[in-house]
Amino acid sequence: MKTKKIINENCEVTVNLKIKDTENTYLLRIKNNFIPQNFIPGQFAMVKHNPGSSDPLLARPFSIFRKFNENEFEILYRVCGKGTDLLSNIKKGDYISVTGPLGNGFDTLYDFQGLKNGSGAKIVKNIHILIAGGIGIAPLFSLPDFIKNKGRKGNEPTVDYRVNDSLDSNERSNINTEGNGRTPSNRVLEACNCGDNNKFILYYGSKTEKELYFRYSIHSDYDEVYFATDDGSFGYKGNAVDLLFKNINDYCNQNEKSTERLNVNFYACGPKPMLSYLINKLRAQNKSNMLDSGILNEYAVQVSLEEHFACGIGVCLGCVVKINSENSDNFVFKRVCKDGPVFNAFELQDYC
Amino acid sequence: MEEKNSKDISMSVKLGRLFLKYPVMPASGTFGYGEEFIDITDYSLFGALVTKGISLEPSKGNEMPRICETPCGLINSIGLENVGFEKFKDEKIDFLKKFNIPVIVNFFGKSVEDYAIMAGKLSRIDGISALEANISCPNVKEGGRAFGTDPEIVYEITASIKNCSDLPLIVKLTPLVSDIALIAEVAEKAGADVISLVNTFPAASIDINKRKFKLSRGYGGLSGPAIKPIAVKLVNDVYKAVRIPVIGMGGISSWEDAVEFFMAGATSVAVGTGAFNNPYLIPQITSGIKKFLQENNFSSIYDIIGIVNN
Ligand SMILES: Cc1cc2nc3c(=O)[nH]c(=O)nc-3n(C[C@H](O)[C@H](O)[C@H](O)COP(=O)(O)OP(=O)(O)OC[C@H]3O[C@@H](n4cnc5c(N)ncnc54)[C@H](O)[C@@H]3O)c2cc1C
Ligand SMILES: Cc1cc2nc3c(=O)[nH]c(=O)nc-3n(C[C@H](O)[C@H](O)[C@H](O)COP(=O)(O)O)c2cc1C
Ligand code: FES
Repeated sequence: MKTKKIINENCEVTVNLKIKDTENTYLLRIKNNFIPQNFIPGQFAMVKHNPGSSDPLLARPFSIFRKFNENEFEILYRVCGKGTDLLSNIKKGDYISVTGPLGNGFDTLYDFQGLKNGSGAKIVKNIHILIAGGIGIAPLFSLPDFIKNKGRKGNEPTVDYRVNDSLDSNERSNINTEGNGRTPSNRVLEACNCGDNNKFILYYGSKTEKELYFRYSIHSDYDEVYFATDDGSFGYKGNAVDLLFKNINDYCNQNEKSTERLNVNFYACGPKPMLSYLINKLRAQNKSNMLDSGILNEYAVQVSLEEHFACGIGVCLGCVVKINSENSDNFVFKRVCKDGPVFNAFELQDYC
Repeated sequence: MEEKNSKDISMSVKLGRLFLKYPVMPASGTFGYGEEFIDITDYSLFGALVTKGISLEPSKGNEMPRICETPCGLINSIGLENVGFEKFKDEKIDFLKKFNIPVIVNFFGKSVEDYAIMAGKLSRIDGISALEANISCPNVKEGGRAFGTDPEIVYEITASIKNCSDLPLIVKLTPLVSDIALIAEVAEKAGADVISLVNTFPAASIDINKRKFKLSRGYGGLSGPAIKPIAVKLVNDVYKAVRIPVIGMGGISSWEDAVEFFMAGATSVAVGTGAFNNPYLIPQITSGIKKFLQENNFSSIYDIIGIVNN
């Protein structure tokens, strides 16, 4: 029987420190020899700071922020209630319960089916646009590195984007996540062999400077970084989505007749109002030009959602979100923890 | 030597005609249709596999928020979301069958007739070892009060299920009644083979800043350690009132908790909320109890069942 391995272990904490120049945000480093090597950005872990104890009762979900080394991974968390407050008191050397990696991470196998009249068009670059709101940087943080490294794994430097259906299913599942709740699509493995053809752009917004984590160091992973704060204390005064739309034509207004194309992908995580705003604006933009030229296909915008979780593994049905459907109610419920937390943005009913 | 002793201890139990190799199982609604936990844990020490409650038609369930945490407890108002009978038959049962572990299908209806129809349909599909009728849900025709609060309706439901199905029948009681022993006796008289309890307790939690209930429906059902002492008492009440075996549950999060239920009279126990934090809880409880029996010179799980009343 084929299963997607998930571990549940009591793991040693090696670091749990407040990040300088932030308000109540901590970096938690955890020893484990499975998760660092096997997670996909966007996946999360259920963490219980008091294993075996009943108050608080439930484990809390946190995105897997980063692999620190082969045997340690990190979580970036903001203290916002009882559970996170108690977690911040955990000391180096203490043991906490960790279950993961859970959920479906970001899909990084780009789909080119959406290219209409794309018979002869050649993709010259993959543009990855990441949009983060505050602590929403956590699931996105490892994405550039993940995409670049998977890219380097391929042995052919050239890029071949033909849809390849001849891959056997094992090969596919090595890279793709199983049990994906998103609409299945033909993903092209060769697209990963394009390490040098990736461009990474980050739009990073928050209320104020102190919630822009790693604002002085994050540039190294990106070709371009744009900051926005509501109070104007750092970067553009306003929100990150408006900032993105100032530049949107650079990414999306491509010449239909050209034989060269950009493949544009969006990945976002942040508060619900930010995600709704982003999705609505992208949808409008898509109608005006991107869809016609086939630049922005329906899988190109992925967002990572949050809900209150009880089980985190898909059995309690406590964390559902409405997904568009053809049925009589026009929606089905899907579980954020198991079918997500990453969803195709245009499928989400309550966000449009 | 010690190893040999531990092997001699008999952990198997009989729930009517239903034989379980181990006396611990998941609680309905906390184990899906068995497809998720298998990625983390293996089922070889599970006494049975128990499904989410199924109804004739699929049900979408309630709007969000559906869950909230309270001290040592969880309130849920999932709204009995389920795939419905047809999809269960076509897509879910085959997976559950693979393990060669008894499959208990939990089900419910909107009316007494629904229960009978469901029982008939379920007994015609292959791979089900027993039925568990959840009678804690609202009786839509009778103003929405839970079926399980009215002894006459409990009799009627139980008898009509037995009429339509030869499978062993577990009747799962709702805990918030004035006389649980009476309800259990009525179910026994109507032909129930096993009683299970407790289901969740009606409960609510309020966000004082928003001045609103935390759950979309206002109230939900409380589970977890907070309800355990009440559940132990109710299990004992039922144990003393009936001859048929009892499955005990409510807040079990350790083998010690489980032993309390056995001593109160349960022949088998189920674990729900506790497994959310510890996916290995079911096998751990089985091995913990085995060790306990061995250290106390018992040779069988039956030696402690109802021991507090002996
Ligand atoms: C898939 C996923 C990944 C996450 N990743 C991270 C991460 O990397 N870093 C991080 O800091 N946080 C993350 N969160 C949010 C984190 O789980 C919550 O902040 C945490 O559960 C709060 O626990 P608490 O006991 O401190 O707060 P509580 O006392 O439970 O609640 C305090 C406040 O936080 C709100 N809240 C609680 N849980 C959530 C939630 N899940 N979503 C939205 N609001 C919530 C409550 O409504 C309340 O206002 C993630 C959540 C999900 C679902
Ligand atoms: C999320 C959730 C869903 C549940 N769904 C069902 C159900 O469909 N049918 C049922 O009979 N009981 C259901 N229950 C009740 C449990 O089976 C069990 O009786 C109760 O939770 C007490 O056990 P616990 O404290 O170990 O969780 C549900 C409980 C929870 C927490
Ligand atoms: S948290 Fe239980 S199904 Fe998602």
